[in-house]
Amino acid sequence: MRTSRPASTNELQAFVKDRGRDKRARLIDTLLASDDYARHMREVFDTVLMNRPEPKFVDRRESEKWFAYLDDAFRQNRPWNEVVRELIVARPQGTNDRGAIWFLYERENNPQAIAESIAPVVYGLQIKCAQCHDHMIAREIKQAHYWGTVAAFNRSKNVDTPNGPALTESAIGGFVSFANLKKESQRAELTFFNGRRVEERWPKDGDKETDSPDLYLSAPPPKAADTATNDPPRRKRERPAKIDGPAVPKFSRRAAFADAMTKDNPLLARAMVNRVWAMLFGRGIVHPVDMMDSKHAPSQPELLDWLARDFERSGHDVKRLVRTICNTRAYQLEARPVKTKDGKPAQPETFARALDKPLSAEQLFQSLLVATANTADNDGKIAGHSEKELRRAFVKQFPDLFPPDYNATLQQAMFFANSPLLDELLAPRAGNLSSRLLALPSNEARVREAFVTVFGRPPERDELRECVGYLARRSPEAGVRQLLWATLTGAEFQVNH
Amino acid sequence: MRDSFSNLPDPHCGGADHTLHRRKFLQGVAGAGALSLLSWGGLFSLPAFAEQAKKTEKRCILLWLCGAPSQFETWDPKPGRPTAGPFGSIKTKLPGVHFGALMPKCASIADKLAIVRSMKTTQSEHLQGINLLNRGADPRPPFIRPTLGSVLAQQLGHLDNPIPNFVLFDPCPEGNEFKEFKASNWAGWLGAQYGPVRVGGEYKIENVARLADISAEDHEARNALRGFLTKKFENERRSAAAASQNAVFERVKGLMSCAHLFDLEKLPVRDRERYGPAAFGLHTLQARHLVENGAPFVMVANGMPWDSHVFHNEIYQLLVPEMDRIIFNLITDLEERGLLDSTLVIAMGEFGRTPWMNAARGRDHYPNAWSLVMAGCGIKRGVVVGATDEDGVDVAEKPFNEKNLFATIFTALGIDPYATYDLPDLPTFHRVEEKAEPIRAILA
Repeated sequence: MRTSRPASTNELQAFVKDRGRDKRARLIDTLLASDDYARHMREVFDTVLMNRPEPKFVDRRESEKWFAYLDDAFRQNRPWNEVVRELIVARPQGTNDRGAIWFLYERENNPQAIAESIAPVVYGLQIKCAQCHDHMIAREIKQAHYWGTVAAFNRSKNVDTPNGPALTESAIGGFVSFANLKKESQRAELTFFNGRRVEERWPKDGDKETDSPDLYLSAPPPKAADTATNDPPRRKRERPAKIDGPAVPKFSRRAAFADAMTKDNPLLARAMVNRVWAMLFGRGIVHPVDMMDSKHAPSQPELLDWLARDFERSGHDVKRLVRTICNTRAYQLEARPVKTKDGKPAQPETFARALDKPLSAEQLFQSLLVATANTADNDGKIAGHSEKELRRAFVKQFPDLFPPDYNATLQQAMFFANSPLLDELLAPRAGNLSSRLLALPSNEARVREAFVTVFGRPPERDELRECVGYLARRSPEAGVRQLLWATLTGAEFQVNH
Repeated sequence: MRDSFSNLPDPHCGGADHTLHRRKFLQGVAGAGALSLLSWGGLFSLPAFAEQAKKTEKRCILLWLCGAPSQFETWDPKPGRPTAGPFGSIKTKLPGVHFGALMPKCASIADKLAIVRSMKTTQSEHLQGINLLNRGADPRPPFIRPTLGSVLAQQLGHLDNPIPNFVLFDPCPEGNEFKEFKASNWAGWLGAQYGPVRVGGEYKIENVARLADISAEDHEARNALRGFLTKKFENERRSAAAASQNAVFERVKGLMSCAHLFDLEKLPVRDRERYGPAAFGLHTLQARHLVENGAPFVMVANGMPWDSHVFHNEIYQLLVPEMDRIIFNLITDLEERGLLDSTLVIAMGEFGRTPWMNAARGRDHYPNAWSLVMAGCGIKRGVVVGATDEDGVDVAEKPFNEKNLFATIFTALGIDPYATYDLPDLPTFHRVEEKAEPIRAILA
């Protein structure tokens, strides 16, 4: 299992030397207990839940403890349904879960954006297509599900409190209607794609609701007029109001939605199982990963059922899920091509061989730092740049995490060819890979060490010949830098296999 | 200093003048004798020859009107009918032919255009429609048919062309149904080397300059060493991801040599004013500049503004005049430069729009009867083919579908429309299935 970086040379040697039969299982357990696991899961789920950030949000995800929250959730192996509940309810109980509110808060009072981003998590679906009409292809996805999910969040509002950002919620308002393409109007009731429904009494037409402290568990609403309108939800970019604490209504739509999504919702488990499977295999049992609808059948339905049931019964135990999948024979297959009985190449959905998994931006960036042995200096700079700068540069070039089809871009190749960032990692510096290679006595030793470090294997004969020949025709420094460039930009390093 | 392993074909990528299709050259223009006398770079430094080569190379610009434009305000107005909308129609250079009144400039060059008013397709959703009109056939999973651009890149381009064989300009990399299409596999079974080079939003390509600490020779040798190591990996594993990466690394040198062609700032201010100020026009200008310099296929995608489910008239009042000006400038510029006869221009979306307005004063998706326009290479000038009924509800004569369209495009560019793909392990596929007829009335 590759968490977020390749094995160091020492780790690899230890694994090869270990004669124990269960050495792979033990290695998996070691990795699951490591910081790298928590970091990798945090990076993956940051992107899954939040997408790639606009620049202004990168720092706030950090300062508002969103990263810390995710990191902790995976490190402590908190039950996935609890985590999802906290994201939806967004009323932190202590300091540890303070970051949970950022999932809603960053969407800046846009309930549609919130609905569209929670749907892949709780339904395994993209629901955007159902905004204007029932889904044209997957007919079971109704426009009412889209607007029902939106309504779960349309009484909520960002506020700033002495304890930081929070989401207040009104006890009234948010009774909106939506129209289909034929302009037939329908109420946005709390009806969800998993078949659950929350009954609410709708005010009669023309009746004005009155807000009152009786409707709240804590703190009265900031201003009744703000939320008690029948306007369609729209994006409000205003500055969040400063109040002492968020209002918590006795009937909270967010809490009601959270109940419907995290208790007896088999779709939650199926979506997570498919996501983790896709993370580990490079392709979901349902593909694309968040289109788990009637038009995208699972390639191994029994397997998906079994894993989802096991995940649910285990109390939504994420580490158990990862461990189970990593210990399968399927996960440990080699990447070499195999043929089916009739002599045709096995299709990817059979998982008959390990599939290509091009590294994500974060994996690539971490892997390059580990392989080139560049570490932060006293000023916290790595080869002259802050970690944040480097990360941002890679994320810009490699934004995709679960692409339905992988396409390398020419811009990526240009980045590797001419960006100073990679070049600076290859410049010899005390303790880094380039300087280590330069200290070796012969070109052959340099090539061998470069291969073992970058690819985790010694060079084959023809590779050794070509690379030694290459070094012989150049100054040691130019040769070493270019040799490392040629290995680090190659598919053997950049594709998980 | 040359390296033993880099005995790859040396493309002599001299720059922008290297525009000849090498294979065609070998077939037609000269014999092997000429080759032994002249280096490729030398050949193209002869101005007369380079000029001649440029003018006979076939190329194509696709103005992709994503979101699907309405035929009523553009190529097929219905004056006086309830479906007409408020804008009316105007006479064109062609007797008896009217365009929407928002298109005076295109009306003045109608004698250079070919209008198809009888497109009739079946997909009414964006993603499916975009796939249909870019791939020319219904999907047949798990096989992925290449897009038009990839087929033309393969047929009109050559892999050692320094200019990318397929350039995609896209002003809006995020946020619509086109996004999902864009994330898909454009080149399909042709392979990653025929996928698009995407240029989006920005008007230049980054990281094009070689760093000072490496010589040009070493830059190339280093890439060749990379290729040697990673090709082994690609072949042993039959790794599609590795193939995709290797395909783009092979284009680095070419793109570095022609990156200036992508720099909008280098184009005359007057041109930028004529095409600008918005991305669609500026990208069209860049497309013109690229084909002038030998790019075989450029696709200019136009966000999704045409998808006017609400406030149709208000939106089209802005959009149509812009498109009118852009198409006019492109066609007249190409003609002035002597390139119209060798450049096929196509402007279309994935379907048309409804004859009736919805309650939100919008027009919805309508694949049943719609229009598109073509001009240039292999296309008759000043012709209208097909017709819809008086309200534009259905095709009244000569319906054409995506297969007819693709057969027309291939024929116009001198490409066999019915050739069989050479695909071991796959079923038999043709460039155009079912021997669908081209639209003969518009073929020159």
